[in-house]
Amino acid sequence: MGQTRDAWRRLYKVCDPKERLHVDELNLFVERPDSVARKIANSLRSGFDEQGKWVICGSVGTGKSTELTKLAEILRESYLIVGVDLWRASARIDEVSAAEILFCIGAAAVRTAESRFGHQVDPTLKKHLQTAFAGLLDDRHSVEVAELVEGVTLLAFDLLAPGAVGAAKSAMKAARAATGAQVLPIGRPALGGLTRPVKDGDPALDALVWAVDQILSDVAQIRAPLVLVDGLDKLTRIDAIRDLFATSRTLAKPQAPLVYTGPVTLMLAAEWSAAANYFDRARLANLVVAEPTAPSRRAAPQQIEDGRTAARGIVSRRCESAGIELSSAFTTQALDLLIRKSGGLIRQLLQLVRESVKLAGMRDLEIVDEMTARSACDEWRKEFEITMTGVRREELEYIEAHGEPKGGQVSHELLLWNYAIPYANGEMWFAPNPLIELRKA
Amino acid sequence: MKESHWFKRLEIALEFDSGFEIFLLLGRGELARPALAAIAEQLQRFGTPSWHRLHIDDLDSLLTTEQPGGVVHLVHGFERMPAAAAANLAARLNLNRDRLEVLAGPVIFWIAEDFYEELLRQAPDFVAWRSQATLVSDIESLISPDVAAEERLLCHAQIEAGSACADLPPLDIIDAGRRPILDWLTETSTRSFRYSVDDHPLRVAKWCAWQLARLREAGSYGWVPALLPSLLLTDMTGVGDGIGRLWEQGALHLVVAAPLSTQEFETIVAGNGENRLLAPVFDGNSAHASIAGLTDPQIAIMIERSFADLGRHEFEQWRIVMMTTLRLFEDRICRVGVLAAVISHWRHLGLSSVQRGLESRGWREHSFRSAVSCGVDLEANEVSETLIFGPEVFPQPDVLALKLYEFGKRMREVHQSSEAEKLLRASISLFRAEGRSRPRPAFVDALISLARNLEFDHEQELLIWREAVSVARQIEPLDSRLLIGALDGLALCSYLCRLPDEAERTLSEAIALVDESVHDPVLRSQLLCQQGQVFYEQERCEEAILLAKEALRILPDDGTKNSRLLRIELWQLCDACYSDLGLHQRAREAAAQVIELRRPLSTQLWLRDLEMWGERLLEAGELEQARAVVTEATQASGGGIAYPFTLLAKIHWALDQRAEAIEAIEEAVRINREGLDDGYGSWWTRELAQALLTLSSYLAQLQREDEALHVAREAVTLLEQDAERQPAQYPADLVSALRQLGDLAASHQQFEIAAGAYARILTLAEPFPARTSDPVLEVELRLEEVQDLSDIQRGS
Repeated sequence: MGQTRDAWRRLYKVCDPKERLHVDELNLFVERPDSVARKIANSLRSGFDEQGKWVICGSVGTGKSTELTKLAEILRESYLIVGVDLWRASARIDEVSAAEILFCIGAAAVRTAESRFGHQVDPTLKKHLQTAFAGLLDDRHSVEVAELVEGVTLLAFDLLAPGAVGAAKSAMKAARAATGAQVLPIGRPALGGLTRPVKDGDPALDALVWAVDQILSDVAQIRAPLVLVDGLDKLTRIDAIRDLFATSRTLAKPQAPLVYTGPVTLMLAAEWSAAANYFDRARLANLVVAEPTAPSRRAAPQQIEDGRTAARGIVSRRCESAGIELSSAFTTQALDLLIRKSGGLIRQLLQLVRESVKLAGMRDLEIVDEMTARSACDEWRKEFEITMTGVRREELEYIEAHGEPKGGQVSHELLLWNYAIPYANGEMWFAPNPLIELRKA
Repeated sequence: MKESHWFKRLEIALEFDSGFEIFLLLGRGELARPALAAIAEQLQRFGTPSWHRLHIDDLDSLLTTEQPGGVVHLVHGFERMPAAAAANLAARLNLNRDRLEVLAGPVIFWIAEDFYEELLRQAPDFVAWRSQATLVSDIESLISPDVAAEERLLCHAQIEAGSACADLPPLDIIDAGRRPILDWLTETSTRSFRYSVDDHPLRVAKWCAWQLARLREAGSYGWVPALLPSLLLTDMTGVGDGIGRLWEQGALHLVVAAPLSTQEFETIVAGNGENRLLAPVFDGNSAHASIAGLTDPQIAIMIERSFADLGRHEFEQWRIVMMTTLRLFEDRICRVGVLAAVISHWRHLGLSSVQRGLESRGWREHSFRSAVSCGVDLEANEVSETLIFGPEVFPQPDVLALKLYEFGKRMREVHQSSEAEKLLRASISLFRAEGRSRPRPAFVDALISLARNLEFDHEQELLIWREAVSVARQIEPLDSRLLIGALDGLALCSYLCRLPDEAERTLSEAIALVDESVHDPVLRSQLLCQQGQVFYEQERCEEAILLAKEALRILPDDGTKNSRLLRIELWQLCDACYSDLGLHQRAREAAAQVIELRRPLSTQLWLRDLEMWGERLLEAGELEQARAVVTEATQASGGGIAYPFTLLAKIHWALDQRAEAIEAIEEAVRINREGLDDGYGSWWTRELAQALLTLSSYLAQLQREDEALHVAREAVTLLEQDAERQPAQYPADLVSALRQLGDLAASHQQFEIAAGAYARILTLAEPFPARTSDPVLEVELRLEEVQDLSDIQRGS
């Protein structure tokens, strides 16, 4: 039986990119066979990596933050989850220094222990944290460090209560009201570029590391802490990425297991090599839904089939949530086209599904056919054209031919904006986003 | 347009779902307003257009919580900002993405095409929420060339004015006088005039003024002086309302670096027949010490012109202007030649005392003399009269300054702070006018009095102390004690303003001065003590201890109260420093000294010291010593204070002396109960409840469950009554007591009582965010468990 306009509307809403995944909504997401959260959790539980440091990196929209949420959910009973929302705590993410990130970790640990467990961290340690950070401040800034402690934004996931979607959302609202984790003041957040440049080994920086470690040790009286820092995946400048992850090892110093979300550019071997000394990389590759474009790269047919099956699963779950059967909503050819054109990017897949559903609804179609799917893809293709330049096109052609970017700022932006998509199957390769037409007919 | 692909796509989207959706239309920036207006007209059937213009640092209008329904939101503004400001705003929009959901309807953003990449960089999450981002290339044909040209000019003007803020001359040029800034503004205006005969120059000037006001709010004070002429130029044309709006927002704290020249003044007022807005403007400046204000003739002109309001019977407006003027220029009003006019019109202010005074001849002198001689009984109005008419009675400024200082000092002694401040400021103003070439000690005294009077405004106080020190240094011959007094005050104020370096420097100078000239060991000890406290705050504990020991060595043991109080402070400093250094034995020795010194001075404080001492010993595990100390405290308290008994109970319990512990905590309960019976409120209730809960936990551990339950329930009942008095506050104490009661009942198979207690916790937590906290969630689980057990119990 075909779909009514109301049914299309329901599916349209379920695929809304504005709706975030909540803990209890994760079932709308097919757990990938290589779930990063599960791997890190197993690694921690096995006891081999008690002080492990991980960077989860992947394309924008591949669910890095979701993996953090999942990790928090898996380990919430055995660890004290200290979550930092760095993106919200900082004015300009590219200007955030390692010292500021450490300070955020310390402050978040204090606030989590207080707000969730009523545990008061030793006031002397809080003072040490403030004093140590004040010692690193740039002279040009006049900052009230005590206020900064209150301003550090906690990640919202650890405030979610288990339960139904409604319950989770109302809990989120309560948490917003109580902590301000989601509702931000309209004024600029404070962090970013506050500290003077320091190198590893600087006594002031060591004092800060010491203070953070002491706080983590104090909160360990509740449970062993696990620190999750979200936001560094939003870095837009390649030199900022290198400063934080490659040049310095400060971010790896705290004596607790730590997981950062990192920028997609760290998927490039050249950018990762220096960071690899201090961190383990957890790559959140995209679903492989097509053969690599570069002749030198190979993907097993089974992997491609698995990727497509997973993508179909995602769409199927959304359909199920809207009370629609997948096979009655999309022809096989239409769904295949949408999956192929998604490039394995989940957000893009949902956007394409949403667009095609809207077109079908307005045309009073009973099913999304291949022509409608093609129209939907065409609409989103045009959006990539807006910012296409000769330099970017040239770089994409190189990626198409060689399966990897040249490196540098242009590559970084292409990866950041999903013009180029990374894949992995033991080795990494890249391909231009299939929505982009490099050679026009 | 209706046939365009982008428009059809937008129309389909709105038709399909009219909820909150983000649409990004990309086109030429300057076409934002006319293009959105044309689009809105075509989309009327989807809702009434609701316009939002983005401003620098201002998302308020877009994110206000009360948004109308049934509207299509149209947003623009990036196109009217300099690139850096637009990028900054985009980043903030990204951070506030979640809050856009208050716009319960479609939101159409107009984005300048060349800004889109920057938007992608700064606001990736915001862009990811879009339902559509489309190039709009064919809109131009719908917009008339005139409108397009005007919009282009307006955008350019605003961007130019915004960018020009960065080009404003820095402080060194401002210091050179106001002329360069006026020139700059005039030039901007002239350039803007070329754009149109419309109100563009006004808009530019006002926008510029707003920009500068915001810069000031952001801490860029150096650029602000240019704001004033800009504002005046804007408002004097009679069109703008910049001053009013700034005034409302408290942004009108302008810095006037130099008086307006006659030419400038005339330029500003020439465009308007009156200048009543000037007074509020300068009132806005009054908070700043460096205000130069108007010259005497300018004030006279201003006052005379303001009488025009009287001619129109606008009494309220005239009254505001006149009061402001008098308040600001009270020390100069007699010199400007308009006093007679002021007096003759002053009756319009309706001040009864003034009306009375006007009825008799010679009232001015009488009023002032009575003010000076018996000032403590004066009303505020009479102080005002003193300030205004004093110059006529004592024409010599030095004499008048002294009189005002003495009057102010007396007012301060009788705690009439605000009146004292007015008089002292007037006195200081005269002293200042007298010049600093050969200042007199009374000037420093007046400054010191004023500084001490400013109890809650440390920043203002700091400025006054600095001036006092500066003036005291210039007095010849040097009055060492006076300078030391000023330095002492400055040091304390710097310390309170968290300027430890300045405090340290100042105290070093004061100590050196004592060593050179005064040779007063008590004063030296006092300064060393302060220096030590500064070092302690700077975590220089070792140096602080050295200073404290030196002060204790030289301080004469004369048995006076002041000497003992200073010794107490010094030993307390030692205690704090030793504790921070981890030298606990020495810290305790210092604390013991404090207790011994305190005993004869204040029983109440001594008891508090004893309690704290007992707590420290208990924490350190020195139980026998703790028991001796706290027992002494219980005896000294005469059985009227509960806390020492609670503490004693804890110590006995730690010593495994159960019966004694119960006896002590029961005594604490008795005392608290008496306090409650005496009618003391909430505090005693909570204290009694806490003592009862402690007693309950002891009884439970002694297997006296029924009694324990009974006592815990009494505590809960008390806290319930207390919570009812403060329904808006989360009753943390009550929740904790209920948890204790519930756990106690559950552990003794009283599942129904336990279930009742847990259920009550959930009810109490429901309206508060705490309902999702771990402790409450844990109670939820416990409740399920005990309900099951209760069912089983009932069934069996």
